[in-house]
Amino acid sequence: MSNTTHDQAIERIGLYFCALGQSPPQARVRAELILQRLDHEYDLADAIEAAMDEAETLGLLQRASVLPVTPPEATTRMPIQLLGKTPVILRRGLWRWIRSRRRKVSVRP
Amino acid sequence: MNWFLTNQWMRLRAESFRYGRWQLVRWVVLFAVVMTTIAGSWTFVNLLRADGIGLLDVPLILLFVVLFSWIALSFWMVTAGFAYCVAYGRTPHVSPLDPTADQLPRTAVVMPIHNEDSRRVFAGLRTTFESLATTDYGDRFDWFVLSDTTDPGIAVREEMAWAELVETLKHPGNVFYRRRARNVGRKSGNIQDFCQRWGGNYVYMIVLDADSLMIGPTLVQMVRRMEQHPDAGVLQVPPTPVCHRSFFARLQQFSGAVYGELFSTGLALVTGLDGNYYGHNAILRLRPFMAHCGLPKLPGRPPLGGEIFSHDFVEAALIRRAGWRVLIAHDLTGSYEESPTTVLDYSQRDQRWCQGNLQHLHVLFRHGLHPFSRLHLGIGVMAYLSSSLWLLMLMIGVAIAVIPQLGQTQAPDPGAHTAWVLQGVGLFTFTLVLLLAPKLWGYALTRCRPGRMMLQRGDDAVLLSVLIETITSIFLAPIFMCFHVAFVAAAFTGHRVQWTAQHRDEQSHTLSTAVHTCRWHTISGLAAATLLHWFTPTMFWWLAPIWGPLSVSIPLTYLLNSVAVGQWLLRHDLLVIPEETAPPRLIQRLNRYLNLPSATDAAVDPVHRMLVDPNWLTRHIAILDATGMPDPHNSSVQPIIQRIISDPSYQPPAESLRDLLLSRTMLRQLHRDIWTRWPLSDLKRMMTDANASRSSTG
Repeated sequence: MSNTTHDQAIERIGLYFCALGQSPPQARVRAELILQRLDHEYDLADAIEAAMDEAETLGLLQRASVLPVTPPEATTRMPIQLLGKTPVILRRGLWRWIRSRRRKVSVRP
Repeated sequence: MNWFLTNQWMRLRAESFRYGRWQLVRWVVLFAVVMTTIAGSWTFVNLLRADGIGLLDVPLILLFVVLFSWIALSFWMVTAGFAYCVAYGRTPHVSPLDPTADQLPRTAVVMPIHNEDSRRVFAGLRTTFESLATTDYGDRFDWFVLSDTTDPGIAVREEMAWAELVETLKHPGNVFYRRRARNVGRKSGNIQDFCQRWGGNYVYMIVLDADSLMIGPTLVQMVRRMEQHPDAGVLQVPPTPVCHRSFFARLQQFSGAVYGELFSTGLALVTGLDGNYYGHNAILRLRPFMAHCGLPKLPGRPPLGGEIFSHDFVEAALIRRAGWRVLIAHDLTGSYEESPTTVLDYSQRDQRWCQGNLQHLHVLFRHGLHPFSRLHLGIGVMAYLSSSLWLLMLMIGVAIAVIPQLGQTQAPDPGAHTAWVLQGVGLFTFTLVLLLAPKLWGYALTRCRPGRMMLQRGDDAVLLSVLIETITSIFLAPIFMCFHVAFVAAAFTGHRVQWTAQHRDEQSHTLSTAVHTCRWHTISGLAAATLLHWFTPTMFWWLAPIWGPLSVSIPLTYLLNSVAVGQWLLRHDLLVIPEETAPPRLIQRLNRYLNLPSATDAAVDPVHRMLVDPNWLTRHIAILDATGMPDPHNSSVQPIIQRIISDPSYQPPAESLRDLLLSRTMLRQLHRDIWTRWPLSDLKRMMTDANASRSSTG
């Protein structure tokens, strides 16, 4: 790995730890420690990945992840209701209702 | 044992007496409405009979009966409210707040939101939360922000505002946030989802709107009152509109303060134990609500079929059908909401409500509903349908004036002319009394309570304010008649309304907005005036109250939307409400919280900020995990990811962003790639901004 990439990695990882609330000197020390642990063939993506793992291991992301989003669930069914029928006179219209009454009367023995 | 039975008997007797009193008021008011309608209609028929009943007179009479009964109902309801307020005042039936904190059952306060201003939502929530905390009952309540937000930027802002609130509160453990991936069933589906997942944990649920504000003691009283009425399913506390500054908003606030109490008291008296639910600022008993209020889809296609828009009235009808009472707590104060600030915003809200209320035509005549549930549904339908009926009546009147043969079958008797004129003037005066008396009652009640409005200029300012409100209402009536007619026509011809968030902020509306809102009103007004002048000059001046306001609707709307005019009126003690002269602590706190700096204020786009900031991303993923949102693994998002990585200023389309924000795997991968490949300067700029906003809030 070239010196330029190494410096860039230090700067990026340092900034990453600054974003997590660490002071710049602390962040720089962390970045150097992480890079020391990595193989000399690493690329920037590996370095950032390692920084993300380190942040998780150190519990720096804990404050963000432990907020109580929702309480335990108590699953209960909410059945869909039937609305009941509309009276025939309104559903079919007055005239059709009268006609149907007439028809019923006419077929009666 | 005897003592217990006697006590129970006394309690039942007291209950039945109270119920009997309600029943008496109800029947007296309904009798008065029927008699007023008969008197008005009889006079109207007599007027028409002078020259014989023609072809168009029959529909004219039918329309008159329907519309006259509508204004008579409104008049008698407000009059009953006025009589009650004069006799008893607004004495809340409040039980003391002392002894049994441990006996207060667990209650969930839910706030369904949809693409709202997250700053206002969480400032309001914090204000209400802290007010409740002062009562020492705070630990009996859990708070849920139920988000149905579809805009990714707003969704991220909500998450951050919630996290900020939870970190700020002293007892943060019971403020929860949940967002749905798909907003099935809109607001009622949102609440139904809450009930199915967490409803079993609570006895009661208090529903707040995104702009609701309630004082803690009122929240506690709501629970207490439900405990006192074990047969109550819903208790609605009528909200008072507050907090806005435009002329139009202040008009609504003034109406709410002066006449609102009379109306809600009258409605509560007439409906008694068979009241209504407005969808927010209300408490629901969860067990019956969940058992009886699962809403079905209506037959037919939207807009009149499909999912129920105005779910609240239907839920009240369903819970009442199951035998539970629906109460209106007209005597409880400290319940607030915000009204739309401009005519355009108001009409947009009206369009949604119009479509929702017209859907109730499907429900209105179903078997098994309580007659008063039908009355509430009918009032909701008539609130919008009445405008179309007024217009139809006007058009028939004009048609008869243009072609007299349509309305007369014989020549009028010249000898009876004086009696005819007297009857006509009498009916006109009677109608004016029905329309304007509620305003007079409101003014009289304000006079009865010296100091209530707390003005520097005293009673003169109140009288002048009532006059301004009355005149503006007269000018606005034909404008809203046109809006409502258009909305009803749109609903019946199948035009659907988009479910959008209400604009709740004080927007600076320009003249072009007023022109856009009212261009058709102006054209209609001028066209009507020209045609009337041409064909029937006698009707020209009679109908001036209709075509006049329509013709000047653009400047009128511009004036009404103006914050400057609203503030000028305030400086001159006009249209002032008590909450403006002596703002309650609740409103003072809300204003303070709205002015606090927030992490979501940063100039950086919130989605970009979330993709870069490890804290924001972790929180977002924690929310996804906790609310059980599925990881979509959508391959169509890949090109978007590539573009975001290669171009830090790229703004992805909202649809793709929605999918991306649901995928934990892709988000983690994108976060790593951004930190690897974005220029260091962009990362620095974003984090500097983040730190600046963090330090300003911290």
